[in-house]
Amino acid sequence: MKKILTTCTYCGCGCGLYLQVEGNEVIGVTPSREHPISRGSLCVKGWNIHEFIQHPDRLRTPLIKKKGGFEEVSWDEAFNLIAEKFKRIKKRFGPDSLGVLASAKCTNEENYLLSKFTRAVLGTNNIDHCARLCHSSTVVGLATAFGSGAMTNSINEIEEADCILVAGSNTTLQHPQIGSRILNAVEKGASLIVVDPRTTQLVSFALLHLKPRPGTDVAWINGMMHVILKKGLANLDFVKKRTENFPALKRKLAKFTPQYVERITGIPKEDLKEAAGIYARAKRAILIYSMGITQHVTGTDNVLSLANLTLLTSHVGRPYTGLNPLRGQNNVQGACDMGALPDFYSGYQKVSNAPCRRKFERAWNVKLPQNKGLTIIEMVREAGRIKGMYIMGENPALSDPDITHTVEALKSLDFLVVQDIFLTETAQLADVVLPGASFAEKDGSFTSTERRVQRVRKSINPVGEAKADWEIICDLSKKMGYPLNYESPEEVMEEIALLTPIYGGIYYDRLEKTFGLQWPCWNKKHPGTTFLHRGSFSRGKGHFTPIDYKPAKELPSKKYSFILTTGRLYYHWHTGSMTRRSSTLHREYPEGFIEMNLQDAQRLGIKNKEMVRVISRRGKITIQALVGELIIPGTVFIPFHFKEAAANLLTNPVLDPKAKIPEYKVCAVRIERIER
Amino acid sequence: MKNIYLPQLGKIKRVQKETSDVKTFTLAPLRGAGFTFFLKEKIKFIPGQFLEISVFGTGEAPFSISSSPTQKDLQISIKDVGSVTSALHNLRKGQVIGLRGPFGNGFPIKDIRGYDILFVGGGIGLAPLRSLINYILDKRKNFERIIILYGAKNPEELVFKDELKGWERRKDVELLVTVDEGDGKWKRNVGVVTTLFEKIKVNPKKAFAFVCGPPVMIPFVIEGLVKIGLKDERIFANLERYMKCGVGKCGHCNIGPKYTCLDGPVFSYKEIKGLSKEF
Amino acid sequence: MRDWILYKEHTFPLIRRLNKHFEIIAPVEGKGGDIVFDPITSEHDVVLDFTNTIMPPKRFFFPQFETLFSWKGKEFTLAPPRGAGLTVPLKTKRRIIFGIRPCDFSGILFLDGYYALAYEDNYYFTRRNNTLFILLGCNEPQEHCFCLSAGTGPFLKRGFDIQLTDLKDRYYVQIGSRKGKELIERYDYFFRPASREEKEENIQTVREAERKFKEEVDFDLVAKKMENEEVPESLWQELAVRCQNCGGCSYVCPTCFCFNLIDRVTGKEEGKRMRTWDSCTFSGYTRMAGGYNPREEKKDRVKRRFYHKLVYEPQQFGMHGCVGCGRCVTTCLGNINMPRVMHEIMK
Repeated sequence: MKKILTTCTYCGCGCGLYLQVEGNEVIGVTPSREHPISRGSLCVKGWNIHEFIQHPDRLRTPLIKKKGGFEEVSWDEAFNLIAEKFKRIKKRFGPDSLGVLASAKCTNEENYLLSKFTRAVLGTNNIDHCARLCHSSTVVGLATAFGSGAMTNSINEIEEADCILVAGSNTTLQHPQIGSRILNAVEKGASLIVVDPRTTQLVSFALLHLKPRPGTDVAWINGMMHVILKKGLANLDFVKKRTENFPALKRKLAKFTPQYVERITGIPKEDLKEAAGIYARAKRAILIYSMGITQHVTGTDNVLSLANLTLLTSHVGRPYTGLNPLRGQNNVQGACDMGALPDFYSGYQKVSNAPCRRKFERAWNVKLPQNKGLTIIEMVREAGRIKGMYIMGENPALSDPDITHTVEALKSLDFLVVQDIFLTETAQLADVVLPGASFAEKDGSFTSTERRVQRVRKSINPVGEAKADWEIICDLSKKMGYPLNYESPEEVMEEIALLTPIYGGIYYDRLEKTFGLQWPCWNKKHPGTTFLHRGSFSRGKGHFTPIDYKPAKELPSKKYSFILTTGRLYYHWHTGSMTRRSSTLHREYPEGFIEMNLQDAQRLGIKNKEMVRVISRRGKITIQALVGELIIPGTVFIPFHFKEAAANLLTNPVLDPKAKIPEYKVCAVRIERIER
Repeated sequence: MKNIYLPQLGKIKRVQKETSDVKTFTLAPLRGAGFTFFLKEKIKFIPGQFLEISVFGTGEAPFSISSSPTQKDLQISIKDVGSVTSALHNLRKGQVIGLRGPFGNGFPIKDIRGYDILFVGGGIGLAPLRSLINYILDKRKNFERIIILYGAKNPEELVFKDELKGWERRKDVELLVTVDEGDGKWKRNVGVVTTLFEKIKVNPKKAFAFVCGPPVMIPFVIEGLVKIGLKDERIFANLERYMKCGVGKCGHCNIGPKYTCLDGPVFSYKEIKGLSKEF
Repeated sequence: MRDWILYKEHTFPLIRRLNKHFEIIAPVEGKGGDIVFDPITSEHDVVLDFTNTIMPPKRFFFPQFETLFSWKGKEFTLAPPRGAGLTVPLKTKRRIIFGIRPCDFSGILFLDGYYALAYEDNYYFTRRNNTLFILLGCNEPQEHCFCLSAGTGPFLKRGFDIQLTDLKDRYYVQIGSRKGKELIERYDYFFRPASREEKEENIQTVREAERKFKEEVDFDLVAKKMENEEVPESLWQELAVRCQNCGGCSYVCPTCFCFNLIDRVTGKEEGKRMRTWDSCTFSGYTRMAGGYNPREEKKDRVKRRFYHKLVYEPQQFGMHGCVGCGRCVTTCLGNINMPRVMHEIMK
């Protein structure tokens, strides 16, 4: 038996854990106590992480679809077919007829290589990944306001805050370590304000719980700023010295009186005033937000509004004080950092910026495309234009909004390659399936939500003939005539450090000695950065963007009278391909449910645990009703993990115009009792 | 040391449909397959004991034996409610299963000789009681009155229908049946099983009562029996719990300081009374 | 039995010698600087000035995830068997756990009792009976330690094979079993008999260590109050709100023995039955087929966890289900703190 230190592959907290290995089998887990985030604890998913790793359902050989069924083939046969098909499509329809989805579950090195492969070998900027679906509005919004789209603070700073405002984040369930830090802060006397239409576990510790109707976030945020200005609680000195465009904001806020906001959001005006006062008066205020803010057609607006709020109160750019988007996936921060995005190379260097492009052209020794590529949803929505796709470790056939359409689009492709560890819903639609390696079977690095780049270490050999994803990309690239010769992920990281200023000082030998480094880390001597925007913002001055309230795209109507909001559970991860194969996790929630308010249920004659039909303009599902008082009347919640009752058959694929994030958090549905 | 988790292989000898979702399986251990059996070919047991049945690939679950040790056949009667039960329901004659057991304490058959025996069953809860009823009927002279109160949701859900008829015909058995909801043809009692209490006269000094049914039913029945005047130590309930190992190791079936699989599944009311609402 | 002295400079040579005949599991430093129990490759891996490990060595006897048996053959899909069948993969080596703390060893003694109740768990005992335990008593309690109150430390009086007390430059060696005596006899050239002064020094060291405990709770009084239902429900409710259902308190507990059994199909005609650690704080732990759950509310599950450890287990075995190691305090994301809860109960 031996224990190998690595980084958890579930959420963005980035816990350090040891995998217990016997022979070539992972048989257990030990949390690291020295690690600054795990500190001797893990969430239920981390504790049971060994269960999925060597599950019998793992893909063990490459598969090619022949006559409707999959056939096991050699790596050579699979690579030859992919190379031939991609070359043919590229020749016939041009490089922009190819699209690539990278993976927030894979390592930094793998995402970097896939970005390189897409741009240098396929010759297109059509690369994106699931960050589009969770925090693209953060990236756009915070780039505009501050110049950098990441958590401004570190996880452990939260404990020292004296006010924590949590908006649209079920933190104890989705980022358990951060939830735990919030509890610690409350124990030390911090005031907690929770803004959520659902009564989450955090509410038990909150001083105030504001329950806005989904889709009305700009209104309450503007309302808070209105109150803050009126009460003279704004830090006008800070506003003057470190921000720009304040007058425009001030004009916009005039009409957002507490009364007006109450009408839109349903938040009682007294509560709004109190929340504004507590937040503004705090000395060390941490604002935390997540999908409840970003996954809207107004996602970017919401993020910009929160940025306005922090700028107005000077609650940013100091220790224990800032604006903190919680990134969901273990390496969604890293996948963005590595340039698995249609408009950026690694380190947010723009593809449209000629000097940047020239730098990468020189390094990669190839001419690079300069037009911005397509986003996830655009690739799928423009399936006519996209002829071939390469999907690494993503499952859009269950995770995209309106999946009926997504599945049709994926089916209509000329050629689809999926690289994954399980035969997911998306992999089932593929022409070629490549077996990748799990996090326990390869070396690399993940970047956590607090910008901490940390090592992932190989503990066992990949199952069957599966290969590390970085090796797959290198092998395929070679077949396509552009050899990627790296001895190890460490060598890839050396290239990343050379080409990516914010990763400039990140080398494996430094990651060995510590539990990672937080970017920006400019050079080998730089100690990394605990919090951002000290003294000045990444873009210079903080920028106020006046925002008006716009309602969600699909509001309740007579026929579809409920607002559906979607999200995750504690025990499951996304499309469930890992967690539903873990006996302990699956047992806790073997099936999906719709959470609804008691009043609504009584009106419709629906009893707790009864099966109901949920119908939107796009689809319908049958699902168990969980009746209670944890959600406001008129709004219902469905977790999206379960393929048998897929919430995304219902969701609305309408996009935020700037960030192209779909509105997962609001669509209109109808609920029908099933007559027995 | 014996391997307490290793099942003996057995096969399904016969499948009998009781209701739309209840089947009775007649089981037989397999001979000569080269395994270390820790059971004899003929499984000896006490009514009320249970077997751990494996459907390989789906899992293992405990089931009370529904046949009497005085009979030739070894039977379990199963309602299709979960993964293992549903896998069992899909098995046919001749198919292989795993068997461990018999486990659990069983009914106190030695202590009840010479007494009136009152059975109160609900739904599939009649299965373990049937084992004891048939055992007593095979040793009829050792016992006084036999009263069986049995209730189900509706007439279709009554299990062991043929046997119920047989018991009804016997002069030495008092059988009363009820359903929560009748259909057009139903002429007997309608109502929950406790409504049958008014229709019988029991001498509490001379009686033992045995209760088995859905968890919601048990407290009400016990309350009724206490009202009739039965002493706590003369009332026995067959408790059901989520159970895995069957041998007091996995912890799941624990109620207070008791393990359903070792100390039960048959408990006297005296034993479980203090365990408050947990049973 | 006579007590012995082992000079610290002889400890590594002794371990090296033992390692030729035994698998030695000892505290070693993991990559992140964490001290964990693992098999050693060299005696120099062993760390003996450690604060208690993140997890007890329980998993070397009761692994987190293990195959109980596997099956292979046509019979498992349809026809009656023809020779093929069930295989048990259980293998053991002769092992020494070196440097286990008294609280963790008390956990092993607890499991010895539990896993022998009515039926013996052969997987546990096959490993257990092949193992010799060399305890290292604790001169310094850690932040969350309360073994003194639990009666499981900082030093044990009996039950161990060998127990070491740190006397600065040497270890005071006590023998507690025949196995331990045989080991010392076989390697007697590493030891010399303890002097009267050393015996006295050992007693003083133990007393001094006991005086250092900040945390003190009366297990019996707490149990009595709980038995008499004198604990307000609001306490359990408050804990339930804090509990985040990670299962960690059970996983790190030296006495927690619960497991789940699952089947995994590994091929067309083959599969295996596995067991995996379980926790009574999960709702699936008691939910029955069909959906009924006698402990549906988290409050009931949290409450039962405390009742089980502090009331039911003493009733059953005369041993507390808590050895006072404080690990569940460290691992809890919701800051549920066993001694603090006990103080709360006493209020």
